[in-house]
Amino acid sequence: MSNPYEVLGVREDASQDEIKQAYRVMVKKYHPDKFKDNPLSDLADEKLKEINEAYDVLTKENTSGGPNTGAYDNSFSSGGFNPYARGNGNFDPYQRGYNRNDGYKQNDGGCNDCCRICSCVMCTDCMCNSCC
Amino acid sequence: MFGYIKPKPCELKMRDNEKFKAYYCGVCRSLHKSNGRTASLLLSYDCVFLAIFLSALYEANVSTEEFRCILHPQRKDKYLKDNIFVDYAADVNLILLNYKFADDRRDEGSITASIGKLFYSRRFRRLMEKYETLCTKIESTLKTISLIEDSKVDLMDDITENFANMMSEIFAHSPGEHAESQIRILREAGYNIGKWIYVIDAYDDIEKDIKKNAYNPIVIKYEKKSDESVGTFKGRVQEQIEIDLLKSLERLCLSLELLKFVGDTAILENIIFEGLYSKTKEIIYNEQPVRSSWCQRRR
Repeated sequence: MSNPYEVLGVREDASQDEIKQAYRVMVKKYHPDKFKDNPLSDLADEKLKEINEAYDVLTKENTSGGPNTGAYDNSFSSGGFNPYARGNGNFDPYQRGYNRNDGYKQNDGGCNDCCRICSCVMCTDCMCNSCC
Repeated sequence: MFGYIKPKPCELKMRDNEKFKAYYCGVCRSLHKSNGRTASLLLSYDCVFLAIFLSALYEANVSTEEFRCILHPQRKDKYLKDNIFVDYAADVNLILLNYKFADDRRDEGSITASIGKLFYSRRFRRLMEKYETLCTKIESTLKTISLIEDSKVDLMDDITENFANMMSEIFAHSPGEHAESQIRILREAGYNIGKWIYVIDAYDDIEKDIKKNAYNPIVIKYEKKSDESVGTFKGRVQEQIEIDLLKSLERLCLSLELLKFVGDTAILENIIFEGLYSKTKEIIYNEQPVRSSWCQRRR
């Protein structure tokens, strides 16, 4: 898919309102009613589809918090904060270790064990911050 | 027939006016370079439009060079050089000229046309080899048009269709590699321009054709009565002709919206949105174009 900003003809730092306005202008330009009985109506339909896809991408980006510069993915892959990394759904940054009844390894003490779940909370057992 | 596609200079910025002149001089010099000085005197505005259209559509060389025109030696002018679309427009100009000579020689027995056809025969044969497919299609289309004109029956739609198809071939055969969808859009744009040219020329020639008793598709289609004056007849048909012309322009604009222009489109937009529209009004309603004193001085 081509650059959605180019398709809609907006700058990369355009606001939601600007994107919406540009979308409306483009839809009006390639509306099927304008190309009724026109031999190029199928090309206009393809263009309209491209515009709709571009608009969906840009509005999705805005609802998920800003333009996708590619850096967004890195925060989950290379050691940044990821509260869902352990994935058991019981996220509690202050929880010390897992529930012992879950069968997880028991907390034997020490930083590595008590801070296994969260890497950004000071270990309260040994009061160190080597794991944070 | 040709020469209706012009910009509206009063609506053009000065720099765009200079660019248009550079295109015009570019096509003229290209004609001169490949076909001799006399060919450049027979340049048509429509072919200049073709060069501007294609240069705006594709990444073309738009560098200019100064020169002294033989018609205006007192000042230096600029022309567009090394532009493949300017050269293509010049070739198309000569191809259409050759067929016009053939047409005039057959219809009117024109001696000038005979001389012109003979004079450019060698150059035209070279162009026939270069643009074999295009020339074959143009020739067959013009033959069909001649047959219909000779029959003097009401087949205006067929003639217009044929002429429009000829223009669509000229646009579709432009130099360079084009995607299939691009060729379709170019054909549609050329088709609508051809339709517009034929109808406006037919309307403009009503009076002349009636006097010469020559074929005019509008006179036949709308059944001009023998006791009806030209003015009354034109008044009767002008509304419908205007609708046909504006419909062609509308379809032309729609097809252009599907094209992605990479070059400067200022002159093109002026020609299509201002020039063609104001020419329509000028021919249909005999409205004289508004010319500012600046435009008059430039002329």
